[in-house]
Amino acid sequence: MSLRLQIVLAIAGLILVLGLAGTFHARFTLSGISEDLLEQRGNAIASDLEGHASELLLTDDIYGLYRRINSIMNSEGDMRYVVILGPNGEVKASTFAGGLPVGLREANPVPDGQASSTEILETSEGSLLDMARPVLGGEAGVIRVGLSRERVESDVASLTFRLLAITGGILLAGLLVSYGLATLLTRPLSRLADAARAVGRGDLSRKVAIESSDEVGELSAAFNAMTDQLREKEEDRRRLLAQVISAQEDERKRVARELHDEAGQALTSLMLGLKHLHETAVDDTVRARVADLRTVASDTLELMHDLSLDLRPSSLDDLGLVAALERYTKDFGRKYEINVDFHAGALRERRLPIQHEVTVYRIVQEALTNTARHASAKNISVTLDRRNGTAVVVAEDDGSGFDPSGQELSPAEARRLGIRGMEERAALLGGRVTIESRPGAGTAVFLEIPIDEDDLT
Amino acid sequence: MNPTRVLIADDHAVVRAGIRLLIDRQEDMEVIGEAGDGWQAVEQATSLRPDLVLLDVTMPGLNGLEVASELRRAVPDVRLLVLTMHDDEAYLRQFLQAGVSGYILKKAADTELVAAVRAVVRGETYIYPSLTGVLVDRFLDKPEVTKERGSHGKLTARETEILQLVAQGYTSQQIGDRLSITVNTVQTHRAHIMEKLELKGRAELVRYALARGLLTGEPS
Ligand SMILES: Nc1ncnc2c1ncn2[C@@H]1O[C@H](COP(=O)(O)OP(=O)(O)OP(=O)(O)O)[C@@H](O)[C@H]1O
Ligand SMILES: [Mg+2]
Repeated sequence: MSLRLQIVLAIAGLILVLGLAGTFHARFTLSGISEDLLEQRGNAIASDLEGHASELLLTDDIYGLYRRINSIMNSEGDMRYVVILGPNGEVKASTFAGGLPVGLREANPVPDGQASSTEILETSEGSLLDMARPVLGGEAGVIRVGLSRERVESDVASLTFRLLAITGGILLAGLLVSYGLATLLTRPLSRLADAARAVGRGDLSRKVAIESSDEVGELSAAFNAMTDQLREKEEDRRRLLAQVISAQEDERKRVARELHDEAGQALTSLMLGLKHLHETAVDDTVRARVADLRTVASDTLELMHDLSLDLRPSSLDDLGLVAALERYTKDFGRKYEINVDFHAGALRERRLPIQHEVTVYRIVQEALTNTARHASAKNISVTLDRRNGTAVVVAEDDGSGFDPSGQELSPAEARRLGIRGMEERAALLGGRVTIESRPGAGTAVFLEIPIDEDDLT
Repeated sequence: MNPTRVLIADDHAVVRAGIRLLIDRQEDMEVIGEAGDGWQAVEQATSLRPDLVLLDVTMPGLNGLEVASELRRAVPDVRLLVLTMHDDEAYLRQFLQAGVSGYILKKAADTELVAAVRAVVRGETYIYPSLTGVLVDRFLDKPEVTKERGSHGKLTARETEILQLVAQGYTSQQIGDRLSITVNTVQTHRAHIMEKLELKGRAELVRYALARGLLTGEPS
């Protein structure tokens, strides 16, 4: 359940409980008070009537009795009836035009020794409060007064209705306000959740707006600080990686040059010297020994040359990426007996910045090494071209393929650096590596690196 | 006949000494000078007018290639023989374009240098054997690019579209997204195309598309 719904429900529930409890309480109190008032009025009327009626009853002044009860009927609005019974229960005077309704006479007997009795009667004309009051202790008769309870009931009902209506109104307003409040509260939270997801995907430039100085604002600020830190860390890591890679490349270049030039030249002159010795020596055993030495020097030179090429081919710096890759793919094909088809398109004539060329070279090297090691492929294509402002390099083999999502790799395989390294190297230049492969369907490694027209030479 | 007059241009004194030892032993050639960098090489070649300059590739100042171009211009009748560690085909190509007559590797200097000098002086071109193989390869390779294959007239419009995108280096995913079809469909199409056109791999496919003008203009 969303936080918003929870807040709305809680507030609605609270309003409902409070409203209903208040209504119930008010209804209970009001009906109690009204009931008391009605009873007091009945009592007052009855006792007033008793004062006058006792004399009229004793003198048997029926006319006087009628005058009294009629004047009471007229002056009191919710008076339903007044009945004066004789000592034996016979009707002396009554506001009922016909006889007494059935059962009324017996309805409210006054217990012995009491001054009066009150009873609620449910009749076909509504609920009544009936008061019975003996005159002169019952000797002279009993006065019965009937007051309608309708007003009491309708007052209570209308109060209840009004309170319920007010509760409903408050509930509605409460729903609106709490919905708004909940939205206000949760919107920054869902924005934060969005941002957190984006950061999780690696978008470290995501910020959330700080709109308040409350806890949510604090959380947003903390979140922003966290992404800032992450970004700084990531930038540090990138910088460090770039430094490590460029230091490694520089070192390789230096060592390769040293091997190629210094050691190579020294061995060359050694071989030339040995050749001279060979031609001038008179002793056959010396000549044979010199020939052996010449072989050693020649092998060492070959070894040095290969090592230098492996470390960093001088053609990459001197002649450019295309020449270096041509050489590399040719040697690679010969070494692993795989048919390597290299095609360089529009980039054949132009040179990329050396950093880009080294990156492409290394990534192709890794892709081809992977093919040789894992794919048992027969053919590899390497294509190099420019597409708008992007250098596009594809190395594709027809080998065994694999699942590049990494799900089927063993933990040891997943920790390998080859593919990671390609991705990192590409990322340093704002590029990316995509691998498309399926078991049994070969592997294609795509490299895209943005290039600036101005950087081409 | 006068001995062949040779100028050695190499930045390594020990190598120059070794070469000098070797050449001076031959009756029909002599070393008339040594240059330790590119500038010296040009200077001495113009002033001494040797029959042949033995040229290193990597040298301070002007490099071997620049020296070769400069000498072609300044003293056209001097023959140039490159003696280098670099066995890249690309270096060889550049030097042949610059007009050198020979190209040999230092690892074979002791066995081939003398023969190379003689051949070049005779007016022949001498190239280190394993590298000539490379040149012949290229020569034989050439017609394959334009060799007539199945025509893409046989391709459907959709297949031509996919051929074009594949040749431009888009991933199957990107192609699928562009054409609103699944990656599998893209790959099935591609397999069909390769089969119809009898293409063996991506590089051939790119060359095919290039030859048909599919990579620059409108599909034809
Ligand atoms: N061309 C390919 N064909 C088949 N499987 C491949 C190919 N390239 C990569 N793989 C699979 O992906 C895994 C990861 O490759 P990655 O280059 O990252 O590591 P590695 O080559 O095993 O080790 P290294 O860190 O030395 O490169 C490999 O172990 C292999 O299973
Ligand atoms: Mg690997």
